[in-house]
Amino acid sequence: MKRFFFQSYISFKALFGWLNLEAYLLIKIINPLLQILFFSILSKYVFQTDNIAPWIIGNSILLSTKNAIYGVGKVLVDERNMGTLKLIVASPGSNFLIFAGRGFMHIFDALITVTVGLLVGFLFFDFSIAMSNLFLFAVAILISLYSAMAIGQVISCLGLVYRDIHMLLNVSEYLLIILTGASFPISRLPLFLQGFSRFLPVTRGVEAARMLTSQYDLIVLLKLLTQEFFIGSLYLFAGYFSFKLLENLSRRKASLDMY
Amino acid sequence: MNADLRVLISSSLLQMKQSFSRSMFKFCMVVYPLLYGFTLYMLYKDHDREQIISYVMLGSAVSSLWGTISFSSAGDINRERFMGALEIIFNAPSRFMIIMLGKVIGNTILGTASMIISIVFIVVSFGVPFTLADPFLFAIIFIIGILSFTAIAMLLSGLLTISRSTAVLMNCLDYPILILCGVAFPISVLPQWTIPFSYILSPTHFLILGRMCVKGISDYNLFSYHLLWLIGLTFLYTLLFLHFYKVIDIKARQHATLGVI
Repeated sequence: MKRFFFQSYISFKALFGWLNLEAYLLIKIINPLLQILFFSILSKYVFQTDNIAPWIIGNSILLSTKNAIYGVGKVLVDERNMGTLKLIVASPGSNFLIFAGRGFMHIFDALITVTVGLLVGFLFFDFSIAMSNLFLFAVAILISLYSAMAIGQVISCLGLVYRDIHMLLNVSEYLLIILTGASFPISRLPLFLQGFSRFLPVTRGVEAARMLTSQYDLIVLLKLLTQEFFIGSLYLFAGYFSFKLLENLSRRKASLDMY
Repeated sequence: MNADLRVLISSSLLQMKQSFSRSMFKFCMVVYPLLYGFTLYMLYKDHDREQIISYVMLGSAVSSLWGTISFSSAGDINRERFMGALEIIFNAPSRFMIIMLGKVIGNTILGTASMIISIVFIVVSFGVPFTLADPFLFAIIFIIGILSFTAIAMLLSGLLTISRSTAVLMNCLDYPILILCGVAFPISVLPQWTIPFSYILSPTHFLILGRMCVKGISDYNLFSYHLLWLIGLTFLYTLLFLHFYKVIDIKARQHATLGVI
């Protein structure tokens, strides 16, 4: 396990190694702050309500997709570009732990961004959460971040076979904004898209976190969180098996480092 | 044909070809208008047609154009710098500013196509007709608006040539513009102290005027007021970019750091 944490840390550090403090603050603090301001003002205007807590929660959790998509989603492509992908594949250590570890640190980094979003809500839009619900709220956010990072792992595998990585990442980000119900109710989506939403990570986590701002049924809440965790795990394993599949293919075709 | 005009045309054509080879540009030009337009439509779904045209269609059109300009025109300098071509362009017999203007015009043409894509997408997908109460005035506003966006793009590219840290800022330019210019909501919902910032940005006036043309102009004084702002700001941006390009010319010779990353 010690190796797992060390690997996660090193991978995260390597990814953001090119960033200086100024760039990190702009990308991870200022930009999310502006994004949450934009969506909060928009929700307030469109829904003509002062209670925009559901939209602040949804959009704050959605900020974590920046890490999931542009961090975790790019990690395997970055490894390939840096020439370290073959070392990961050939490593004698547990491939699953190495694979999962690539997203681990991003959960905590994304937590900073989500907190920024919630703070903006608290400071400018009277957003608050009862102290008694704070623990469950934190759990809901952490589980949502876990499943968001898991979809990032799937995207990172797709990045190995799809050449247009920027297109893939940007489209993925917007699809999550549209389909998770974080920015507007899922019921507004066309019926066929509503079905997709139920299979996406973050959807249930956002729903559960929103429940905590009003009266809620604990059983329903726990059910949503369990489902969210299950979906996240499903994506994580799907990502891992895709990775193994690509590894097998590349062994046969000797094309691991080719792009 | 005038030599400057020839350079302008060939630079725009080359720019359009180069831009199309980049996946990020394809995203900004084709995919972003669809996804952003879809998101805005889902938010405004139960509002009346006038609001959908004003905030969904015009909003996604302007944000698409802005995306194309901020991510491409401003980033072009950096791309040239990374490719080692910035000094070559600068030292070419044609004026640097004319070459850059050609690039910006190329991007603006593609950005205008992106605006059209976003409007057509909403019309076709959701069956909301794009109707204007004052189409003639809208056409005039549209032309002035495009000129204004071109001036902004030139200003951004000039800033980026002078200051390398602008490259980082460029990535954070999207939301301030979307908020301050009232792309997806009226600026009246913003706090009063932000209004002066909104007013010095020409897209704000372009959107206000565009929305007036959608609704029908009831107050011609107000229309003229915003029109004057739009023209005045476009003129100011033009003066500023002309000044920046003079500064670039001097600085590049003095410091010899134009291509330094």
